[in-house]
Amino acid sequence: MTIVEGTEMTVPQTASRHIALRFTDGQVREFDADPGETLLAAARRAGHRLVSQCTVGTCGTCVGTLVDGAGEMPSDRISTLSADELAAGQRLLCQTRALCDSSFDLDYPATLLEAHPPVGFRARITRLTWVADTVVELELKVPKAIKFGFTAGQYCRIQVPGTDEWRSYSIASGEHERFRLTFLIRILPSGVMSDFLRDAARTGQSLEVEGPLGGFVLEPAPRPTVLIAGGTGLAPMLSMLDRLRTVQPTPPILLLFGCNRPAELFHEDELAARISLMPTLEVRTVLMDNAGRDDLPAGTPLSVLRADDVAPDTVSYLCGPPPMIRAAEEQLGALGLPAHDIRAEQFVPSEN
Amino acid sequence: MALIESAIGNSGKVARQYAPYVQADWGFANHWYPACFSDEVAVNGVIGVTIGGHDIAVTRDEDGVVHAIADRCLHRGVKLSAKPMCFANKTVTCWYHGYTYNAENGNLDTIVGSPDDHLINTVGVRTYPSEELAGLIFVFVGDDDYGTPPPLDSDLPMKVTDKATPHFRDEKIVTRGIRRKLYGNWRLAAENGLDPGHLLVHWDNQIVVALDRAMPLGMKALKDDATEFVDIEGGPKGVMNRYDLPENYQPVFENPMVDIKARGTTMYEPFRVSCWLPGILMVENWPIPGITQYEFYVPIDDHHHMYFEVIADRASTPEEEKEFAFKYENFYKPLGLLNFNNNDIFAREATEEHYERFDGWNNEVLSNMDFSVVAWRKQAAKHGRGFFQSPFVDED
Ligand code: FES
Ligand code: FES
Ligand SMILES: [Fe+2]
Repeated sequence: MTIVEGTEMTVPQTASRHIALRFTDGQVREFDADPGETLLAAARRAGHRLVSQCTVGTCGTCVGTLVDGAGEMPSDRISTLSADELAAGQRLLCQTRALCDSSFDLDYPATLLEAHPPVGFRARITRLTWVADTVVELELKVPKAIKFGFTAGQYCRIQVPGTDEWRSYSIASGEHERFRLTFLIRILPSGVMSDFLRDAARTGQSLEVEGPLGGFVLEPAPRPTVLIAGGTGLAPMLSMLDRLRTVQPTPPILLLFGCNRPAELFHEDELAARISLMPTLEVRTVLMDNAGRDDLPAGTPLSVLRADDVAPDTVSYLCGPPPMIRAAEEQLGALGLPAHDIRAEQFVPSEN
Repeated sequence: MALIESAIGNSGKVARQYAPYVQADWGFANHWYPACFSDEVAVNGVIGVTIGGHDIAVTRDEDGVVHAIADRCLHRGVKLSAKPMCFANKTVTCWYHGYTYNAENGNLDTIVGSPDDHLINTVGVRTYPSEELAGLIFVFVGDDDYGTPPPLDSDLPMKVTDKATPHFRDEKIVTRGIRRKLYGNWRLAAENGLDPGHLLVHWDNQIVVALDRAMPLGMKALKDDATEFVDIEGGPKGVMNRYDLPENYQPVFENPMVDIKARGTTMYEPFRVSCWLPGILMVENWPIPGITQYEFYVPIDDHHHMYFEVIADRASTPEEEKEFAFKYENFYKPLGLLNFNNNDIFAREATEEHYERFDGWNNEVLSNMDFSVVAWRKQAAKHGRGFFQSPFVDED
């Protein structure tokens, strides 16, 4: 016997049913479910994460409301749903099998189960350090009450105080330090954020921040990794290095880092310290114009990329100005890396 | 690209040499830690410990084998160890509503009063690899998906071969010790143990006076490698203060400027001191020659650690074991582990406030004598396998 909206009917043994789930933020996830398969299992198989807990029909967290179609729940056992709730269309998705194409409403946003949903908060400036003529390292303290977490490679938006202008910067600190975020910011001759950081910013001051954002993220599997950074494009690489340090076994990592001229070069000591902590890390630093620093080669990060730096299973991450990204994609592609193993984050030219 | 050569100074740049260590306020994850002493867990007993924020229940089955499972009932989150209940061999039952877990794999085997509940066999608590060695129960604690743990020996002090130092892997090893939960970050404890400059806190200690022992006021490093970096492939990582090599350290016995002299006239074998990941001290020839004192600084959270103080000796016969037990009860423990080490505890607790509340890790002025502390920090930063994080909601 099966119960479907209070009536009895026979389950048609046909092919899979098309299921649509609608979330409170309007997002819809669609997938197919086999006749005998619970909707929770089918959603999971299709890569959609839904709120659930016990998966055996006792906790009641996986509830959804049938809006179209038909879904049956086992009738031979106690349910956490009352008869009224069942009649109103509520179903436990971990117990429900669809009898035909169906759709359900869920009472939460689709982003709820994302690893780190973006949040907005006010963060205090705890440090502001000029690390080169044109680069500021900004450290922000995230209030403890804020549920903030991120994956290495992601970025935040920061509002320029007193304006409606927002700018995006990659997080340079590691995932572990989620309450103390650092950013590397290039200071231009003029621009609202540049002007603010140069002339007005003080430690103790608060800024509006939103994040984490972006899909430029380090993948968890340990693979030989090539990081290519131009200027403050080093930021997400530092965060990734922090994560890679504890990956077991630590893969070989090559970081190619380029700046324009000696006065714009920064974090040499930081990188030296990283090398001392990470036996599998190799760093090659280059300067476009190396006058005064002939210990470093002249050129772009790509000019020191060699064919044997890339293995068949290498993954690469690029961050910097668009021309560098384009050239790197071309060169890595020519060395045999498939496009999906070349991940890039471009600087958006937004300063004004 | 010059590394910052000097370890002395108070800038954040110094801290960058060992940044991961500064981040390890909750301790390094994915290491073996002692949970308790063997004789604390009886057959069908359950004891609860916290390591790096992980609540762990250690139990012993009827074959004498120890198991470690999460000490947090799935049902409503009480600690299983709050009221130990093992009704059947290799199980732990929650005393509240009877969720019963398999001690070997954590599976929910049954619920005492609801034996046909649908939840049974669909869920479980996590388990932790555990091993018993020389009177201690060790647990591998860290990321759930870490994979095969490295051997326990990689998280023990190395077995030295130049001396007859008693070691956990010795066949004839006998150990006795105590553990106490202390206020203070685990790193402050580890550094205090290794610190060649801290002997002053023991200057007026009873054991030193009683043994008329020539305890220096400080140890002056004479060479860059006075502290040896030990990095054994697949094995222990640590640093060793080679007090035993006269070309490395010069003991300082007096400072006329403040009119102070070391007390005592008896010279002993040097008590060589070494510190090992993830936070273990080995003091050879202490409290007396031939004996070794081991200390484990096991992080509980960011402000507390479990302080294990272990005295190790060798004994081949029951008589020798009895003699060791007698000396332990009447000498090593009261004078060494309690009286002498209490000086250290006093010092660590006094340091805690500065380091945790005033960002002391980026705000300290180290001097020459801190050479080996910095060496330890670097070694720990390089070989820590991950970080523990706060398990608490809305807290770091
Ligand atoms: S997940 Fe618990 S009732 Fe469905
Ligand atoms: S809390 Fe453990 S059985 Fe209920
Ligand atoms: Fe001491």
